[in-house]
Amino acid sequence: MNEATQPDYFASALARARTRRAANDIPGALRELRSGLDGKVDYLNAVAVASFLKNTTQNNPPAGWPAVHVALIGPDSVELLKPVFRALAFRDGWWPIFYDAPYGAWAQDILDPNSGLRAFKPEATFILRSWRAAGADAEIYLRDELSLATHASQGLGMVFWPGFDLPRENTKTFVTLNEHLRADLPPDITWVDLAEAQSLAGEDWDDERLWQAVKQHPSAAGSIVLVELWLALLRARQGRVRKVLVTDLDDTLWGGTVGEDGVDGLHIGKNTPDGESRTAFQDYLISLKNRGVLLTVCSKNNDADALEVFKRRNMPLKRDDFAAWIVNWNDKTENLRSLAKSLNVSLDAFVFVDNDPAERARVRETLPEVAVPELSSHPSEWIATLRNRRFFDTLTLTKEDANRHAAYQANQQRAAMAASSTSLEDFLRGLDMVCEHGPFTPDNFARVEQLLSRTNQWNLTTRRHTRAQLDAFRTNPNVLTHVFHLRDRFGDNGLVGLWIATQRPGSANTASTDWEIDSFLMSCRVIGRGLEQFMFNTLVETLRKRGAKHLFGTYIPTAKNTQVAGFFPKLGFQTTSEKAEDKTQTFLLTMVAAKSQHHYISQTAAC
Amino acid sequence: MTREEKITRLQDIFRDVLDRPELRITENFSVADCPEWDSVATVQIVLAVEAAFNIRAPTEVVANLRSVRQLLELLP
Repeated sequence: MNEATQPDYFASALARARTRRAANDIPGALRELRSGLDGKVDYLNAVAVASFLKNTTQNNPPAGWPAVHVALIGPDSVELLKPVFRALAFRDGWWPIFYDAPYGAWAQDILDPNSGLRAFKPEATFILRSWRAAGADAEIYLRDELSLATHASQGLGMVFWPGFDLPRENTKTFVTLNEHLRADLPPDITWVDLAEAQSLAGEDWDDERLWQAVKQHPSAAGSIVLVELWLALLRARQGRVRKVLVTDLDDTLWGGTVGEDGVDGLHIGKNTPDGESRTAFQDYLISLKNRGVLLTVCSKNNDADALEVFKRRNMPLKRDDFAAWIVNWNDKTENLRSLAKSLNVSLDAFVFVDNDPAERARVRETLPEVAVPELSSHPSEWIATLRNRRFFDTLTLTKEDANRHAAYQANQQRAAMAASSTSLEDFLRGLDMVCEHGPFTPDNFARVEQLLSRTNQWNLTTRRHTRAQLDAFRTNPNVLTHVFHLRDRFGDNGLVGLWIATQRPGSANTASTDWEIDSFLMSCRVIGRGLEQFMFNTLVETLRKRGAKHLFGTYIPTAKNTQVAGFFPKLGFQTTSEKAEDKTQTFLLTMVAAKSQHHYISQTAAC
Repeated sequence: MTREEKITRLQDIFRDVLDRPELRITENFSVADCPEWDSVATVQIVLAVEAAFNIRAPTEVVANLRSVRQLLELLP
């Protein structure tokens, strides 16, 4: 398609943003600009956005936007990467404040406790260096770099360390180097698979001329791929991974409109090129589902017509593959709100897939927290569009990810049972819940780390402990940990709750009898079953055995955890203080006053 | 493409890269006329001109572009 028939998506968004800015409508200008980044973004688009932002906001974050201290450092120049980072972070809804690194001083910056980098107090530090840095003696280089990484793991926020990208020659040496580096990096540091980014970018990754002219690596095109990878890893560390994909039906999952073309007139399957591309797209959605993404439908159609297509046409996706389904003629933004409510997942975890540009624009405008990738008119390009955005990338894949879909479907059966039960007690008793529980072990570490990093709603403190901290907890006799694995008649919910309790420091001769609840959280998929009562009872029993006399609980309010604000008072805790600044509340319970909480869960052996 | 047309296209590129929608350039326009034209912008302008005209600039120009006249010499 040439430019005359398909106007450049980005260019028109930029033009609208400029018009709004000229009329002094800055919020409108930023909204238009941001929508331009939902399409395919090249280096020059990113530059235009970064310059627009610089001139419009004088490099200050727009009102209400979170600002984060970010350090991009390494032996080479990072200046050309900053506009890409600025633009894509803007698309993601936040504002980096960049460290101004002195050129060529990254090692001193990390090692010197009084360096500019340390004074800057980065919340996220991204290291960039290419294979060129390794020089002739790769082994010595690696030893030095590991020592740098160890220093970097303290005081520089979340640290993202690159593997090597691979030179065209001597590739094997660098593959081996990467294996060593990855195995020996401090556990709190996040590995950045530069070689994967390189292979995604292909030939475009290198630009020898840019390297020779300004010590910039990778190329302009490669820097987009790299920053997408960085931001995906950052989102995963922050627990901001998208969880739900909402798809339209007509002209999205299949070619044609069921109301006009009829069930048999739709393009799906191997018989037509269009059908082939729809089949490939459905296969891709199934692969997302297998990685734990919840697939849902939001379509303007007659429900019966839509169901008929799934019954009569042979397609990869079946009706049962969808964790939720809304087919009606209502406004889609209303339907998205209903979906969020029924799945108990907030809209900022949603990705909206629809072939209709008007629907996409409406969702972007009304629900800015929903991600709305711009789809081309060629369905064959959609898989790459979604893949390049890395919406669903996680740090580790656990058993619970793979089972999440089954868990949500079981939830719907539970909801049906709840609706037919005469009372809440009747429902909870009828679930036949069984809970296995026990301390953290290396076997459940990956899931524990994930629960800590992802749980936002039913979470009293929202502390994001790292793997290394968890390891330290496990071996520290003054820290008690517990995980909870819940099953019922409809299935296995997996590992869905945990608490961490820490003993306060004692005096010289006696251990303290004061304990604190460091973390107490539950996956949103089991809210409303009384698991928190069960968890609390185990906490009290465990602490009594340790001779505890006082238990301190902390509630740290966030935008998402208001539903647990009343948890401690309900259990009989007394308020001790309220800090004015961050609204953190501390509560105290004397152990003799702790009452066993009523629940409907039976327990089995430790897990 | 006439020299005038080339300058108009280059002007669009400068406007986008520097976010100066009202900017007017002539063939005498240079680094000295534009405070935003720093070393980073230099590389960005060259990359943008390369993409728009489907050409490839020498390494020397990528590092040291100073004027619109230098760019015009590169164009076919």
